[in-house]
Amino acid sequence: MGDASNTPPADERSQSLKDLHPKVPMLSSPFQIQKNLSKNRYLLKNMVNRNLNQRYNNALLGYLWTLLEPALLALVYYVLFVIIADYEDKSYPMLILLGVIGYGLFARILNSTVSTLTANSGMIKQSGFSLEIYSASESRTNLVISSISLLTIIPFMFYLGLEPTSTLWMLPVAMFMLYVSAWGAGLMVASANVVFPDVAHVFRFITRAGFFVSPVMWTYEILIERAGADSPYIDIAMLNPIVVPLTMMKHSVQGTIPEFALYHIIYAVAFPIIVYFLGSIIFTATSRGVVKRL
Amino acid sequence: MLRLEGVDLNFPRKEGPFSILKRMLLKPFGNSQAGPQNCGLSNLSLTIHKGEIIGIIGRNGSGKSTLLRTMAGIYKPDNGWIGINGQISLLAGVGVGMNKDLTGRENIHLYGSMLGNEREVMDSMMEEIITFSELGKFIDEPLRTYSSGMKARLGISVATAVKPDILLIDEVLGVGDPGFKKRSQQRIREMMGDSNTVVLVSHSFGLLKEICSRMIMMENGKMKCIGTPEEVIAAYHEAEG
Repeated sequence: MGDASNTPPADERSQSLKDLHPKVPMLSSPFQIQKNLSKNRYLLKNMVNRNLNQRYNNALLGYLWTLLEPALLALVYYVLFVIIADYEDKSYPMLILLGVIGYGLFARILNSTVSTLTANSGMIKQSGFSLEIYSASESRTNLVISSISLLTIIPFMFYLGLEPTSTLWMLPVAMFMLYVSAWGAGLMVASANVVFPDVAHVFRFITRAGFFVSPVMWTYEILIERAGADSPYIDIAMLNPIVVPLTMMKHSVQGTIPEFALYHIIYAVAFPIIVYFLGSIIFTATSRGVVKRL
Repeated sequence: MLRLEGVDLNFPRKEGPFSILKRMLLKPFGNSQAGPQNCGLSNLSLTIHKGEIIGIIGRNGSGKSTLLRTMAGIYKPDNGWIGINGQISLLAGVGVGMNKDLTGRENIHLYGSMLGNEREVMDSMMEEIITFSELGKFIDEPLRTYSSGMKARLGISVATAVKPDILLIDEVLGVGDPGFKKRSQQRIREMMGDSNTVVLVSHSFGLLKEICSRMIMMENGKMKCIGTPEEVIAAYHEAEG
């Protein structure tokens, strides 16, 4: 009978053995995450199916709810703004609906990614696959739901006599910008949320408050009109990184191109890239270490 | 092959957010004091060779499951090094990773992909898995209609069918009726013949004695002894008094 004496000296480590926790160079983390997701794409697909199934399988109307929920919401906006308030701009309910869908996508991805480790703690302690897969599957599930919800815009387009134009390219681009910004920001703090659960509460508050400072119930054009094109408040409002993508979503359907200052566009494009890079670096460096605290 | 060298793993004990914050803020000023911790694994070194079946025994809380999860890469050691050669899969509980609303067949795809397999591989093994699990017509029923024994049969059938290079099993091998237990053990032996490595945690000494080539006894996060099943089981009984 032996004891720990079968320890091989470190210098005899077999060359063929792979380090179970290899050090990932800081700057390769964003690419490593994409590589892991690509390697596990079948798992990712199955997890998205599982998430969708969990949400809608037991409901009487099932997947129809992805359409029904925004459609009912649109009906409420129509009654409120067109029938009761008699707004001149008949497209206003549609613009609000687009804002709600876009903002909902951003908020749901952000909140689910912030709590990805705590929400999946049971499974994380039982399976050894890459931790980013949990948040990626949840984010993609939300992307699928929001994309289906967008179909409710079609009746509005008919009603308003809007024809699909080439500006529709802005719709997927804007949604991708929202997706990457929310996922990246969530990855930045997901590990911190394990140590300090207050983080999730703070982010839930931020997303609730953010609804009002984002162009959901208002539009970029209303802001310009009220504040004046040269107002310093415009620059402050544009610090919110989702003003540009939400405005792009609205204009894509209207067939117009929004008029932003160049530096606002550069900021809106750079934000998701920088946040994703920082988020993946922080998540890769910290997430496996905090599993012991789950 | 799997090798652990001087692995230490400590679990942080629950402490207030302010003391964590204080420690984090003082860290740049040379405060290297760690917070209160419980020992999970202590200076553990071990080499498991290709084709071996290793059994791990020990009292509750001795570190058996922690060792298995550390081997699976779930816990990152505080110190030490772990090297592996090949694909590693952990079977750590009944129905883990499965979804109660999906059918058995859909769960085979889900669980198989969690173990790192592609769709084609799972499609090619589907019939074999269904036959081995003996679930028959239940395979197209939702998992919520299954008993825990049926869920475990499904899990074991998938985990052993995909034949990972290293399979880690935590206390789920003794489930099912005697016939299924016998066939599971037979399949584990076949894996050994195919040069796959199996590490299993169990309180069923009879089972371990029958199928293991070596055994380990854990105590307080340390490897108390390692040897043949007879030697280690005798040491366990001796320690238990």
